[in-house]
Amino acid sequence: MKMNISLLLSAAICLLISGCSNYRELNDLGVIIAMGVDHNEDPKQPYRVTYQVINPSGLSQTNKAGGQGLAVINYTVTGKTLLETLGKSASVIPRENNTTHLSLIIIGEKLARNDLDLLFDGLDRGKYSRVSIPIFIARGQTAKDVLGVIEPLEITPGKNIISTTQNNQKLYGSSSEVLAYEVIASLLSDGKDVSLPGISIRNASQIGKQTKNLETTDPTTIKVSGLAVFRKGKMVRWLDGETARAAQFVTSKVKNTPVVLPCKKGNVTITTIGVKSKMVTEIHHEKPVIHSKINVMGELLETTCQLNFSDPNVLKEFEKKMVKEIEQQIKRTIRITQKEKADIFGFGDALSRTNPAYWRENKKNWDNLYSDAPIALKVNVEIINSGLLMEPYGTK
Amino acid sequence: MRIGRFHKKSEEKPTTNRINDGTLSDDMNENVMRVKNELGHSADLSVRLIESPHHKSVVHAAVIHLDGMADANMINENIVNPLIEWFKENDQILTEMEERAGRILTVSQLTVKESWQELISSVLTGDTVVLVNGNTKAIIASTKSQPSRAITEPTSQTVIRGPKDSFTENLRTNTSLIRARIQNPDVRLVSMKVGSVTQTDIAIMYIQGIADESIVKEVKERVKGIDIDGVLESNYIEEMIRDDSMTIFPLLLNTERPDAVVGNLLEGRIAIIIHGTPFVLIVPAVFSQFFQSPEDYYQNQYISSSLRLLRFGAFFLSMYASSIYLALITHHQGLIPTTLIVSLMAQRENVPFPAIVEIFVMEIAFEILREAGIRMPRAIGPAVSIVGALILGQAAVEAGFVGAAVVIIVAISAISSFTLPNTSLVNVTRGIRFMLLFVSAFIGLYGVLLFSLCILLHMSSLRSFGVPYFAPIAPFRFKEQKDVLFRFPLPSLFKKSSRK
Repeated sequence: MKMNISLLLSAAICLLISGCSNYRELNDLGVIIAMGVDHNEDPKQPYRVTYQVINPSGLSQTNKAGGQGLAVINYTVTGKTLLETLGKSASVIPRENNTTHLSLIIIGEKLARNDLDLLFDGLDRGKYSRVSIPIFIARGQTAKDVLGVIEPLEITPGKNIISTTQNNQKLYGSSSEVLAYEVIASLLSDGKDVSLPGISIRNASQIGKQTKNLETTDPTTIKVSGLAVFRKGKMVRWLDGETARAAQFVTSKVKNTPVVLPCKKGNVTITTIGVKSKMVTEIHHEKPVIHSKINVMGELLETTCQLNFSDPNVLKEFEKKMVKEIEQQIKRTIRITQKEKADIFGFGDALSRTNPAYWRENKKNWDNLYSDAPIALKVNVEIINSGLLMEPYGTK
Repeated sequence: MRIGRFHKKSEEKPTTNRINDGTLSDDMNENVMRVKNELGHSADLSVRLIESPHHKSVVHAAVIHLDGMADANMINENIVNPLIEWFKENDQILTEMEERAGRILTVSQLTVKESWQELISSVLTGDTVVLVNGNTKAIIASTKSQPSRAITEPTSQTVIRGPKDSFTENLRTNTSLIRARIQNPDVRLVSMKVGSVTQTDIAIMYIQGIADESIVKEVKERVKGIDIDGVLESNYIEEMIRDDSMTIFPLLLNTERPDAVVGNLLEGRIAIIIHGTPFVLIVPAVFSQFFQSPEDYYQNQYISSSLRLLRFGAFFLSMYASSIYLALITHHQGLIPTTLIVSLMAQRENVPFPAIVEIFVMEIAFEILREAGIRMPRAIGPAVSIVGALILGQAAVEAGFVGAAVVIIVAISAISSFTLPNTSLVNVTRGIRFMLLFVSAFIGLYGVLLFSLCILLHMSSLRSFGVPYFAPIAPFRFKEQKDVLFRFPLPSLFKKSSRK
């Protein structure tokens, strides 16, 4: 009996002393789903952070009563550090801020060109958010403006940015989602530089920030544009279109992407259905050689030339053409990064695995070595079919 | 509460004291008067005096029984009639009772008793006492015929495929339902009386050679040791003989299905049948048994195995659904997918109460509905279900009292508790659900985990007649896993339970 009473007592103490310390009602929470970090002109307060907070009543379909409005509200705060702005945000956000659902971070281009190095420390160190969230660069704009666009198709702008990027990665491949911990790892590594997808505003106008944006078929929207290349934590340039895509070929982040090849009187489009690449950096005569093996599988799905695809030699010919095209694109991209001394692919990391001794000696000098390194590519293309038709329509 | 307790003792002396002394007198009239006095001149006491046809006002014999407890037709034809005939033919006093009674009375069971106590108790159970002038012995003829209900379909443990009969309130009917299913000489039936006032008949049934002798002995001793005034239902016995009197978990299985009892007897368990209730107790009971339905053995093994898993899942869902929901929305918002938390937030936007109050009110409302559903007269049933479904479900959400998600959570935890085949366990889930709700409101998932650990520790400390409650999972016995989580094919199950 004594045992029972003491058990009961300790249970009561455990329960009552805890006193609902972590108890938060859902309707007292301001859930921050996106964060935009910009450079601020005031040197005392170098950061201008925009918090995008969910407005539940704006999102609910069933709720008739209560507040209305848009799905999200943006609050902008300036401060010395990111965490200071989070604290300061309490003076503008009427609900207790909650960063557990933070799902993307946008960094203004200006800030990215200045420095990115220790920006993520608070994110990594803090307990209340994840590091598995994607990071983007607002191209030519401030993060505040990008987050301000009201999206007609997706529920929130943040969701829209993420799904557009994922869609782009899946079906075109010019950029890929890069998560915060990957950025941190690249910032730490000597053998790899950061590359981040860029986003900008299409059809930019003031209407983009208002509900009117939802009432037009040609609204202001967000678009994924280019790949930001960093060198030692500072952004140096943009890669666009095929140049950006070539970078994804090397890291095999692209899966389905159309490659257009010329033929006699038109074009042939080959869509890849699988890309596998392997980066190996080798040492030749005390110098590193960038070496990459890329295997591509594709389907020939469109043509404007009169060609007979039932002939395997024709396909072979296009395989060769595609090898050439891809090699050319990749080489161009690597050259650009070599010029900027920004190893965004991680050839240095590859070298550290294959030749650790050499790497230890030369890692401080890697950017110079990288920029001078010769490129050796080995691309292999296999066209597995030509779609459901053998020959094109016989035009008169 | 016993009403008479605070009043002065009844003027008559308690009958028990007088019964004890003495044997029968050789004057029959005196004996008859004494029986009448003992039973307080009860209105249903019937005494038929048989006079001699040869000598006026000489009474040869008296036939005594309690009206309604004995078969009147049988007494007429097999006792009164033969006696009258005999006295008509023989102008003498009936002597040498033991021998002659057997020839005269055409009744299947006849005994001769000498003590008052036995005489009175035979009258009370419905037997007929024949007193003959000049004899200090009483002849007792078995004429029990008590009013009993017909065998009907079980109401609390229904099956789709399987036997449709169930126990009744009559002990004999119940034992015969079991006997009819096992025609085996090894079936043992031990009879006892429990209840110092009610003297309720209790039968302990087991199969010699399959049931563990030590457990049989233990059961007999515990039942014998019961000191209680009356036994009206099997729970009276259950609470008196279970191993741990404070636990919320059922340590004895109860069933109203004869096939379930037989199945358990075959597995070496012991049945305790109590007169006056259709619910038979089965000991020892382990936790996994409360998830087994008789129907598990009457349908395909794959189906019944998956249904059993479903029941385990539903058991946990029924206990944890509301508390985990509460913990997530009040302590661990980061664990809910973003899209879901947005819609939950929107639902809660206009709810004026804290989440714990919201859920608690809904859970209580459901308990009220459920209790009302059991107690209310049949005729009002539809009215209550309309009120329950419409008012408490839809209207409460529309009026902004509770969020729609809470209604879903409470509904799922309520519905899933009804998948359990045994109501004792359903009540356990109800109790634990509320405790978990409080703990999770205070310290979130950590509390839920901590409380579950306490419950688990408590459960593993439980024993049912010496058998660990979690057997055969803890202690783990590999060979006995065939009928725990899954129901293996019957051929392999029978190999296990074959006679030693």
